[in-house]
Amino acid sequence: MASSTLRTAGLGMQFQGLTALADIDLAVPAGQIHGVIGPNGAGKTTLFNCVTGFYRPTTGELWLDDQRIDGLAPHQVSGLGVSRTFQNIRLFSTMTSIENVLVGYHLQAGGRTTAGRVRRPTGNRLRDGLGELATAPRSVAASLAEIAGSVFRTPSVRRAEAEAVARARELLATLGLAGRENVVARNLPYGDQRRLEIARALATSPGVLLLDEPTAGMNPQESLSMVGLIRRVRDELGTTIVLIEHQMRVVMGVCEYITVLDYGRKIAEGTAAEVQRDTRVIEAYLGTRAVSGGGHGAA
Amino acid sequence: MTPLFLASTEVWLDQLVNGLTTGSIYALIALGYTMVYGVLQLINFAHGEVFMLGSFAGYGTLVALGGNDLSGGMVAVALILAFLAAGGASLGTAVAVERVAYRPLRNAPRLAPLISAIGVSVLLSHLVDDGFLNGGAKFYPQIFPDGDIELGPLQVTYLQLFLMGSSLAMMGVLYWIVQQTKTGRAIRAVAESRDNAALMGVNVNRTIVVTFALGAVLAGFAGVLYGLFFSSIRGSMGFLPGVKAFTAAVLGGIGSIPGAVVGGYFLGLTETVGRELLNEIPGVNLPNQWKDVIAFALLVLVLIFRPTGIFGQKESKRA
Repeated sequence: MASSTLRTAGLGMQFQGLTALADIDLAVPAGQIHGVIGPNGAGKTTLFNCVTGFYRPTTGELWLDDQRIDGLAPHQVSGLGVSRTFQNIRLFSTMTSIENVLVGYHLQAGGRTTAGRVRRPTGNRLRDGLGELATAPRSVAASLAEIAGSVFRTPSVRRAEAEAVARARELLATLGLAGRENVVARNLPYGDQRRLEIARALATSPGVLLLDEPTAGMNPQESLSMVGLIRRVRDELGTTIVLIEHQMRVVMGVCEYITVLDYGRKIAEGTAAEVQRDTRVIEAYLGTRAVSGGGHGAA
Repeated sequence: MTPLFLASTEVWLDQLVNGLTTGSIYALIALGYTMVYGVLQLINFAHGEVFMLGSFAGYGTLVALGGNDLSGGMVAVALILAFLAAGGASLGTAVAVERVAYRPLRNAPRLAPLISAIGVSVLLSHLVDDGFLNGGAKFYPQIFPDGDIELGPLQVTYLQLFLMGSSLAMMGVLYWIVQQTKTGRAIRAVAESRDNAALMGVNVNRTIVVTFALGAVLAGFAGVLYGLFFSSIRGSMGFLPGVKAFTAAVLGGIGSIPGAVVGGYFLGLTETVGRELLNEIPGVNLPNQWKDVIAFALLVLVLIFRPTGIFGQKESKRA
């Protein structure tokens, strides 16, 4: 599977005067497990939302390998190989485990052709609007082709579908969900839902996987097995992993490099040992704790 | 010994067949409402006009191929072509309406696309009625083979059989597409969470177009069935079946595919069998037009007492 580098340059995100992110420079080499930590409201999830195309950054650039991805639509970013999970699990709750994963494989059968020649919007509404309109006949044709392909299944469609199902089973088994294929997602135990979300994210064959608090709500034992799982995903698939985490034991245990955010700015970066010694980091955490009167598991 | 009911067994069975016949048409149209609502939370009030234009396309095809002069094997060929033309016309209309009237309002408050939908609905029905027909009607060629099947007191015409059977087959195909194919998975994924589906690489816009297209094909199909059964068609013909099908979709639980089917048949049967039941009350003799009163009284009751419908879920999952 793929492994990509992720880079941001001067990335900033403003919401009507509120600066959620400012001037973030980040360079995640291929195959690294990279931690993003910081007090609540530091901008960690905003960073993920920018990278996945969910937010359009107000300043700066985002690069995936040598492709600029800021300003692209989420499905395009996903098509180029960025995938994520959520702090509060967001599965397709009424679909079965295997169907959740198969949605992730949606791209594979023909959908990924857009990769490499995705058009970025120019920001000029008229020009973008006309450009979008010009694609209308093609998109309608693609829609019809999709329906036709689904209804009149050619041998190649059948083969692709069977292959996707086989790979989905394999992926579920890798994540310890063998035998749960046909369980409706919302009926799975919490830990299984977390793992299923990762399986679904991996189904898009991402070069970069973003994990938003993968151990949230887990007990130490479950967290430990999640750490093992994250490391195994990287080792076996080579996927670059960026994770937001509050449990310091997890961060220090699994991350090879750490970026610390506070109030939307990068205040430190380095290895676990380096970051732990950094006075600004200690200040940010202790300061937040003193002001808000409550910590978040930072040790 | 006095009989239990005033009406005879034949009347009851007649009403049952009538109910299933109109119920089939309601169900086919209701599926379009419910699927679009599922992915966009939009009541596509122009759907009745999508149905109407499909009906006219089928009519045009039949007339062009010889109208009432068609006979023998040519009837079957003409009908197949009429269904294809209707599906195509409805699909084209629905996709165009989505792009012109709904997509630009995708992020507007929910009331805006709803009003836009009503505008498109009025525009299309009046365009046909006033622009082309001058208030008149067209009449479907009566080419479907006459005759009926009798099973004891039960009497069903060939047309009714065909209507019910083909409707069920179409619904079966739709259900299979939604449950078993890649396209269907994408539709269900978008219905659960548009953002989430996009993050998994699903092209949300395309999936929305596909949803409109599938609903439209069923509506076009229903348009031809309607024409064959009720004969007269006009620009405003989509309004009543459209609103009834919407009622059926609400009844079943809007957003639910099985709900739309059950709601459609339930409404069809309530209108016919329900009216007959009311007529059993001494002194009551409601003419046929009362079926509309019954249908809409039902809509009001459902909205008051069970707004989520029979199969509906609470919206709480949409955080």
